[in-house]
Amino acid sequence: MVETITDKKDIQLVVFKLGKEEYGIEINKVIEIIRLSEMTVIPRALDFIEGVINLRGKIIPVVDLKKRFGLTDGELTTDARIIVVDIKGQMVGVRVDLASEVLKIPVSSIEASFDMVTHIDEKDCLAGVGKLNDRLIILIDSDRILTKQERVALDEGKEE
Amino acid sequence: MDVSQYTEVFNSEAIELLQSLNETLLALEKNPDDLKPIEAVFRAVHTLKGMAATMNYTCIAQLSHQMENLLDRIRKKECVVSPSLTDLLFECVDVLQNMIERVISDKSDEFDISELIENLKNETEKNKGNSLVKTSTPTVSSNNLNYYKIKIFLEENCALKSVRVYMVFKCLNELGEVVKSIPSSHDLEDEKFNFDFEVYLRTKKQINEIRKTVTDISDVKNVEIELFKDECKEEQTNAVNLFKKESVAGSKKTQTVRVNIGRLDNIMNLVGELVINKAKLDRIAFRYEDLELDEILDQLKMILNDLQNEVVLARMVPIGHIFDRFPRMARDLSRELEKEINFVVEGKEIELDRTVLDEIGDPLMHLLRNAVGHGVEMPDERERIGKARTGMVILSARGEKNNAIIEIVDDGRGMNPAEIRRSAIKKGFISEDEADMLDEEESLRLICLPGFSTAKETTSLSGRGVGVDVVKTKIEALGGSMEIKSKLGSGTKFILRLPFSLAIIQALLVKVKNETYAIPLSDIVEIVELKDFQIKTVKKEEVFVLHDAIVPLIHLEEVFGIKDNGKFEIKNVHIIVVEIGEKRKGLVVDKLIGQQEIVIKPLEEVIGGIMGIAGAAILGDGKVALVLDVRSLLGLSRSI
Repeated sequence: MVETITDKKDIQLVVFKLGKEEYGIEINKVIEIIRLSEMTVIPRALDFIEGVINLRGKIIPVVDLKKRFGLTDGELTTDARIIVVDIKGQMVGVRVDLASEVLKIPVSSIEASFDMVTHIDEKDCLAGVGKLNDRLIILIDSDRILTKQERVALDEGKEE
Repeated sequence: MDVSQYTEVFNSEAIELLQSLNETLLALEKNPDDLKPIEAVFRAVHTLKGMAATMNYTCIAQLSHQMENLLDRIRKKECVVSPSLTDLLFECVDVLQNMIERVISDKSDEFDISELIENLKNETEKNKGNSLVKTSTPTVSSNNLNYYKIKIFLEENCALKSVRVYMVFKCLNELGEVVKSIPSSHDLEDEKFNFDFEVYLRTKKQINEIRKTVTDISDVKNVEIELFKDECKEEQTNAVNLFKKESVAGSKKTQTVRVNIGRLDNIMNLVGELVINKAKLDRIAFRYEDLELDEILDQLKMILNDLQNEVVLARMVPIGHIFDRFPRMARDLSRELEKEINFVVEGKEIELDRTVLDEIGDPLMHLLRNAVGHGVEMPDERERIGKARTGMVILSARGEKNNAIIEIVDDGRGMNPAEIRRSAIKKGFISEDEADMLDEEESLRLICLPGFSTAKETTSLSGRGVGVDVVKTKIEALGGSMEIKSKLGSGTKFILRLPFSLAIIQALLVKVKNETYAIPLSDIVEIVELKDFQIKTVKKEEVFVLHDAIVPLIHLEEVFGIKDNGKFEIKNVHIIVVEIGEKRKGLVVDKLIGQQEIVIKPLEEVIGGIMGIAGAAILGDGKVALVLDVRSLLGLSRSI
């Protein structure tokens, strides 16, 4: 994704919050943003898979991004949303605390180094950090939200 | 002539013809003295020739023409049916099949058939000398041109009548000249006729020959021919013009329609959505308690049920479609291995969902190859141990509850559990201690382990250690199951249990803590309520007694790790007794909600494949309930 970003001058991001930090997902990966609906827990699935929801007759999994990043879980607010993203042709919901806005940021303002991101341990699905005025927006490579390692972990989880 | 619009019709009809060719040839081979099958073979080849010529597939036409010549001589008893001859005919059928497959994939039938045609010619010529009947046909009024009035009746279920008309005209024009038709060729072309029409033919040929030619065209039910003296010069219809027009009206009065399976899938999905929305409506109606609304909903339910049944039925195909290709395979294989095998097929009429049917062809093929290849012994060996020289392999299908049962039975040498155990230890699948614990049935199941094969030698067709495990996986992916029974020395039986249809099922909704689960009704034998003192513990496993049998219990909240608040305070527990094959277990649930029709949707790949979960279904309130996979809960899959 880093390569694709450099191809263009600006990229458009859907900006959302997890706790206090701001994150962004490239807008063309986002299918829609929906309110929280009742979730069905999947037993013995990976811990960051929160469950499945019914999206107009389609059953899609929902990822708890905070758990994915190893952040502590805050309380659910009424602002919480599910951002439905397209991960390699598959619809996956991503639960966030607040989906705030759509931003256009210049590619030149994105840094590939995550040194300034200190609060996250799991950095494997970050794509860069965008700076806009005094804001820091952590870019997420949505394709890697469910990465290889996780798939393996999932498979192992089944074996017991 | 633009015939591309008929390609599909040609393809499907050609495949059907080949199928019937294989069947009739097998019959002929079994009983060479009975010439009845040869008539059918001849007709099929003849029809194929006509169709191929119409479609400009010259190679197919050439080959079938040569076959026809040979068959004609057999039919006239001028040549004897020998094994080499049937072999040749089988070879021709195979080549025809290849060509037709090429037509389907590349729209061309080019194929090197020169050698085969040479063989056919030789075979045809070879027997000319010892003909049993004089071949010279009496030519009485050879120079006399006669007019015949030919009345042709088509089968009432004939699809694409205009195609048949065209074929009739084409054949008749080979015999002479079609001078007139009633109705006019125009109307015939537009299918503006019922099932009969009249043709006036000027020809030197005899009535018999005309009759033969016309009746050999498929879908022609009957022909009436009479000599017609009158000179009918008026309106010389150019019959060949028929079909040259770009747009020929399609079949207007057909009773069967070939539908793309994708369409049916869509309809099925839509019906599924309807079922879900109907359930939603039910919930709303429940709130309003409006009598009128309830009534309408009841009607809607009935209509929906009918609609659903119809759609399910529309997707059903007789299992014969798959079974029919096996007799030929069994014959070829037993020949190759020099075994004598009587292959019996039963229950061809049992219908299965198209998607299920498409998937079981290969698994069945594997099992049959195993039966013929490994199961049945060589004839001499059989004789030595006091069995009939000819082995039996039976492929049968029957319906049972919600399942279709397919059995593959052979009366061969059977499997040796001890040998299987030994082999499994040697290959490192199990330890010796583990092996000692296995009973006979469990030992047999070892052959389903990936990479397991007990065959002492590998033949070209089977025994490469793939096969049974692939079969098992496939059958289970379809929601079915496989059982193996075998008796050393007297044979093996594979029992496949398959759902008739996928997608929409009846399920029982239950609650475990706060979660709702759906259990397929077809897996449930009984629901019982127990007082907690009725639950006993045997070998650290909770069990209860049902009809004098001990049934182990499964606590779903434990299996699924559902967060618990206070355990077993309820004095009465509901036990859902589920059964697969002969294995029973009781699922402990907190609450029964009720029976509902559900549409099973697979879980997305990221979360799919979780033990105990077959998929998910959307309930009337829009919530998602997980559908239990009873098979894996009973420990029947994934592990032994």
